[in-house]
Amino acid sequence: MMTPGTKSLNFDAVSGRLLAGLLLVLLSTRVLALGTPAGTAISNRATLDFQVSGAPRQVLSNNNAVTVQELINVISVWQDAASVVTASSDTEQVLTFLVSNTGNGIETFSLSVNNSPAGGDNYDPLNARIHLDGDGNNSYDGPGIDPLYIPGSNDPMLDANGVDSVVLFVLTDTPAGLTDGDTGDSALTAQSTTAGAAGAVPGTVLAGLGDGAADAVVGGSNASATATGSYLVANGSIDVSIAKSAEVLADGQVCKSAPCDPVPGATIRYTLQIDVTGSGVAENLAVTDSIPANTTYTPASITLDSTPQTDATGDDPGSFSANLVSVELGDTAGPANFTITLDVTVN
Amino acid sequence: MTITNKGMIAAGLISLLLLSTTAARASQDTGPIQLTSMAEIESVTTDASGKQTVKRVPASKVVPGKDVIYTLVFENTGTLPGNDIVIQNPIPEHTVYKADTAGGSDTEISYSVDGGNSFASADALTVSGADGSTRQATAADYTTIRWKYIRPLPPGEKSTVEFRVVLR
Repeated sequence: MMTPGTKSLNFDAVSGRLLAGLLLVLLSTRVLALGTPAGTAISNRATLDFQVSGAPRQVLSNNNAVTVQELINVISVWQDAASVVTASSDTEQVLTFLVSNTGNGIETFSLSVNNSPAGGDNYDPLNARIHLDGDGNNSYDGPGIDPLYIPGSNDPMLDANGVDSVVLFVLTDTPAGLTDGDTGDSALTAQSTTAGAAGAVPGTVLAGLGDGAADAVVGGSNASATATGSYLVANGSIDVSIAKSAEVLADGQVCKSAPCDPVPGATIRYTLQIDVTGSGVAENLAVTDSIPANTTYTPASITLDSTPQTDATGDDPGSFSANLVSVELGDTAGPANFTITLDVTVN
Repeated sequence: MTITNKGMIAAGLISLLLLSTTAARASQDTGPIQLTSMAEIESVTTDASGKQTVKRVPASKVVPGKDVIYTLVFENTGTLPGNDIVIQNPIPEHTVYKADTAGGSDTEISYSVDGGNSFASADALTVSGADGSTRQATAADYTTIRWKYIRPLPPGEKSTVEFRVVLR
């Protein structure tokens, strides 16, 4: 059969840790605040036209004034795309949350973490602390940039009609003695600091405690929102394998129908199957394949999981340069698999 | 022609007066037909047996998402019949009209999507999209409701029209 091209498989480091900064932060779950600002006066005035003895007249109604109350609503959403991979033991493991004011006023929220929420996890994370996303980049950059949350001191104030959400990082430590696959949950709770609001039955009216001394009304969230994030223990066993196969394509010209021979002018399609097994993360996983002697690479023929790739570097994972096909898969958590194809013609 | 002060309105309308501020009344044109707007919300109470009772109560304060029911009472306080009565009510700012809630006996109801310049029945109203295409107008597009009262209103008689909005 075909002479396989040289294959090389590079991953700079294999680690059981996935750095928090590499996590996808899903902001698509952000919910926009809904509602007319608290304290707004809604007025209604109608007109009535009529005729008396043929003479047109118009009258106006009185002008109703209805004041908009402040609805207190909050949601908390865990932002990480999947369980945050940790090792046993480890420190400063980061979960990312988004807390949004979905009411219609300006509300301040107190925050707390429960490392033992109800549910089926295997261990309790340790030493929870909360940091605020000081620079707004959705990733934890250390206490100098993303300050530690101190209850009652820097409670986030969220304006439903302005900056209505805040990204928060929950940092915990992972205890020793855990095995691969163990999970641990931590729950972040945000509660309205308006007196009597948090936990109250929806519809509870807190007279005069809303914006502009309007009434505050507890919404469906009970003025309190909890989201649970999870960690997954992976102590670093990961394996990457690659398998390569080739077939000569029937192109209707050099070879009309399969099976085809690798005669000059024939197109050979190489298929590389990359299999990432185990837990943890293969960091900076890259696949390179040099074009075999006496063949010519078919421009723009790289595909990754059936998605065509350009030959340029940097615009997508695939590239071709100096007779070398390269596909950058980046940090890859196991298990995962990829299929890469590329075409060459026989000289 | 007799100009009747609001204070003489029948007892059944006293709750309306509580809603209208003195300033609002002072600026109001008065004629042989009086037009009064009142805003109400529905209050649901549950008794010991779990039975729910829906009751309309005057709305002075409301939360976003809640329905507000506006009732317009028109009463002929003069001595001559009022003819060709047409009531127009712009949808209040920050609210959205709720489809099929405009009502009133002996009325023909139409809507405007252009701030009251033109009116048509609900099924005949269209709006233009940003791309120039037109589509059927929905309740959220309505800017004004119009009621044509199809009979004269004799002296001493009154009638009502109403509609609902939801507070954004």
